[in-house]
Amino acid sequence: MRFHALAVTSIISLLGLWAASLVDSVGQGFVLPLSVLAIAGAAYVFASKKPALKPLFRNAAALAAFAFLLADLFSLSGDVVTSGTRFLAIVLVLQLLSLRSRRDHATIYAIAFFLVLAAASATASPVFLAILSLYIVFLLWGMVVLNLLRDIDAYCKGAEAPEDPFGLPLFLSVTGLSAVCIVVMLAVFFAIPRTGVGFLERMSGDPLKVSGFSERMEMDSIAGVQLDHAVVMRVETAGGRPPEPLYFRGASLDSFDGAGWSRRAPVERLVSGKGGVFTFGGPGKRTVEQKVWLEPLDTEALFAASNAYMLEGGFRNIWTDGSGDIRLPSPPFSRLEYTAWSDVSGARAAPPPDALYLDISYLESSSEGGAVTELAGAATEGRTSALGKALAIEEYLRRNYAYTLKPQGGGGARPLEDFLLRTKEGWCEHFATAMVMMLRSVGVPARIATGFLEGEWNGLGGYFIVRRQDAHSWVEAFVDGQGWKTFDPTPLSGRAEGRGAVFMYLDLMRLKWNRHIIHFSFSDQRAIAGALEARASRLGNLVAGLLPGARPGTGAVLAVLLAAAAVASAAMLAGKRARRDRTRAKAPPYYTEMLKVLASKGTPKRPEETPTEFADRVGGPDVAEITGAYLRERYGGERPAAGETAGLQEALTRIKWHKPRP
Amino acid sequence: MLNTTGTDLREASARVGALRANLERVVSGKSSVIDLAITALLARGHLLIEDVPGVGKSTLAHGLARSIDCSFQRIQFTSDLLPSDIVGVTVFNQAARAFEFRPGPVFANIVLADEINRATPKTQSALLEAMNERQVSVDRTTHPLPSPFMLLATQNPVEFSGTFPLPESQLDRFMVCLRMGYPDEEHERKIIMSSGATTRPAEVLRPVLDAGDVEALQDLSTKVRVDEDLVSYILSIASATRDHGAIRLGLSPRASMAMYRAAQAFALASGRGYCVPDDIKTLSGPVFAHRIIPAERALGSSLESGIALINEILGSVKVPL
Repeated sequence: MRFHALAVTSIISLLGLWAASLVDSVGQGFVLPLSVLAIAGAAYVFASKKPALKPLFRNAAALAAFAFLLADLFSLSGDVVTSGTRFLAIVLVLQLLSLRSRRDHATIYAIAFFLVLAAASATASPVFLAILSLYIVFLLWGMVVLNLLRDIDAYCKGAEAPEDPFGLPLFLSVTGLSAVCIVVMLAVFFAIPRTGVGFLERMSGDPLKVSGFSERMEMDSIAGVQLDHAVVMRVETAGGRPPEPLYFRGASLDSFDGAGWSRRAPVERLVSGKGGVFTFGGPGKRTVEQKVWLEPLDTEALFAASNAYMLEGGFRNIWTDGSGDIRLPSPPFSRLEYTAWSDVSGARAAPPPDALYLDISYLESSSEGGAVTELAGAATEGRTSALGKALAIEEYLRRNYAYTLKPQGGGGARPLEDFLLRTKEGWCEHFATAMVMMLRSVGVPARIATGFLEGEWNGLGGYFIVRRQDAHSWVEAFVDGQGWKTFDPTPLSGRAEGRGAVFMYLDLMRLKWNRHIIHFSFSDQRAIAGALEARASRLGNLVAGLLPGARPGTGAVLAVLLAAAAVASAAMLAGKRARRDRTRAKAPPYYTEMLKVLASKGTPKRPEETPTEFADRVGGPDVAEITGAYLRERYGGERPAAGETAGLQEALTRIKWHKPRP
Repeated sequence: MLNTTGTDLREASARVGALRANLERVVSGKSSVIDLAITALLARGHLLIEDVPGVGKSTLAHGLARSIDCSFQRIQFTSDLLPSDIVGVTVFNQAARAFEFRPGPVFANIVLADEINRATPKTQSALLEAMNERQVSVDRTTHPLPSPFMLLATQNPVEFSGTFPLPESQLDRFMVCLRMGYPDEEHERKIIMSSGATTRPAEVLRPVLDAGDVEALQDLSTKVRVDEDLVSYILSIASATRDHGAIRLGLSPRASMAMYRAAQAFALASGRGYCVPDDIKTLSGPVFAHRIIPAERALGSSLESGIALINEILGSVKVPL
């Protein structure tokens, strides 16, 4: 009886050690001897029915292990996870070798749990999934065994304990049930597509309201969200933090009417992706790969660093145009995940804007009149190239104008003039608008770009946290030979506030949750399936290698295994049936069957009728025979003999087909 | 548990069969009445026979007594019968110079109380202790009755002048109450034709059992198997009588207990070591009907309406499968 507890505890110990071996830094060389020790110890305990270690020795060894832990932590590995895992593995084996009470078993379950936990944080191997599943299955069975043992100890004191309460059916039902639960859970996890946002959240219809990324931007608009800390997106850049500042560009606007910006250039192209990959041009000189998790926004714009030339995501098709805007056909209203590749070299060949575009640009500039032109002329004095003019104006604005988020007193019909000539302070829209209009007045094509600054760098996870307060607008000017270049005339403000490590850690957890659970994508599923397949074939080769002679394929091995499993289960079923036949009632099934047959023939037994009364009403020796056998077994406990059962079957058949008794 | 396949049951069947055959010789054509009488005997119960005179009540009692090799007493109840006439008296023995107890006619294995409703309630109640406790207390001395002890009482349900109907408490103490009913023509003819031989048909019977046999059978009957569901069936019938609108007084737990014992005895008398639902259904009338009081009490005996009500209840209570 104690055999079960020992067996399940040994299995759980080995699972814990296996999990420990998944922590790479722990090392197989450390875990393997421990496992051998554990198996040998368990075998010894099985055979001798007493613990292998005396408590004194166990305690001494545990103390030594603790000393080893300290040494490990401070000099050997210097890592909490590694040294802790090693320590726990040693304690686990010590505990297994000195099992005495039920509490010791429970302790092993707990230690194994922590080892599994350590493995969870340290590995992405699909093997871990198997270990976790097995751990859960055996943990449940272990708990059942321990609790039954406790009850037996409590209630069978002195009395004779039940022979074997842990029969195969109980084991099969407990482990089978938990295994089914795990399988269903995994199936759901793998199969159900994730929408990115919870159903209720999606229905609430309250995505972040950010304007300015699509149709029109009022000059005051972005300032309204400048103090909002809500995270809009997280951007993981491949290869760590890029040295140059990134501008996550959402849209560009080209038409200014004196109070706000709108789009003139039409969105041109609908691009259909191949396998989720959209390409808008060739790779650049310096490429930044960004993985973006975009929170639901009420815009269809997809954000990426300037000059994005490739994008991969689970979309069907996207719109794009010559200005570099990338947008979805409709706002997504759900969390998006995509990868973008941008050329951040700053020199990307692009066709010059066509004449019509330039016309519009110049035309628009005229509304502000001479003041802007005058200022621009003064600022660009002595500069001839477009690049020089742009840098000069950028510098001029940064130096002579102040950044503020306080609304201006004027608020008149001409915010640009107010900003340039009177208040001389404003926020990014004012700076960007001023620079675009000044550039245009000196003959440089320019437009406004809106989007987000790179936000806060989370060093723990290697990604940017972009908030609504990072919303920004800047300037893109066309420089011959270098294409559209990014300029930011807004003076730097001290808005970036540092956040503590705890916040960074929590945000990293959130990202990981999004990454691994919410956005567990098809490609991830494929990757895991591939890894499992590779492992399975390796296992197949291993098994094949053990067999003598020719190396059969995995198929043959599988067939042999399946056949063995089938034979084993058939034997088990047969044994079970034989057992059940000995205990199962014989005559009552015939009687209930007869009642069914007679009811279908229009003579149901009335509830207030006794079996004999019913038999008399129906009449016939067959009915009487079955009723008699039924009453004898049901109320008298007399089982019909083997030959009698056949007679009952015949009687039943005759009743079914209205045949007379021979 | 009764060894249903063993010799116990076979022997019991043989003895009961002999007893039944004996009784059928004197009470012809009344096999169900005979079965009920045997049931009451095996269940250590008492039997009340309610019927008009001349249908064989006394003959049945005589036959039963004669078939068993045991003592038999007959008491003719009249309105001037005193309790001491039944249980006995203490008299002063001059020779021994001491009081001594003279047992009454109740000290017999089988007692026939003829026309029990003719005695006064005081006398009737003298029987109460005897029936229930199987002992008699006279002058603070308790005298046990012989074993087996069975009381067969008869009463006439038609003639009421000068009678004292039995109180419920006393009716409840009779395990079985039955009606003989008139014999059919064929059997009546047989009775008439055979009447010439002797005045008392039961005189011709030879005992087939002795007191020890009866006690053994009684012990055996307590071992008859009664399924849990059958107990539930009894209880649902009992509770149905308690909730029934047309019944003023439903069945007491004593009634359920009597049914349990009667069913066991009936099963044994039928040669079975186990009870079936039919036992209870068959016995419901004889065991239950006289114990309930209908809301609208007919003049005199309520047995008729009791039987009708019990049958109605049996038609609505679900029989265990």
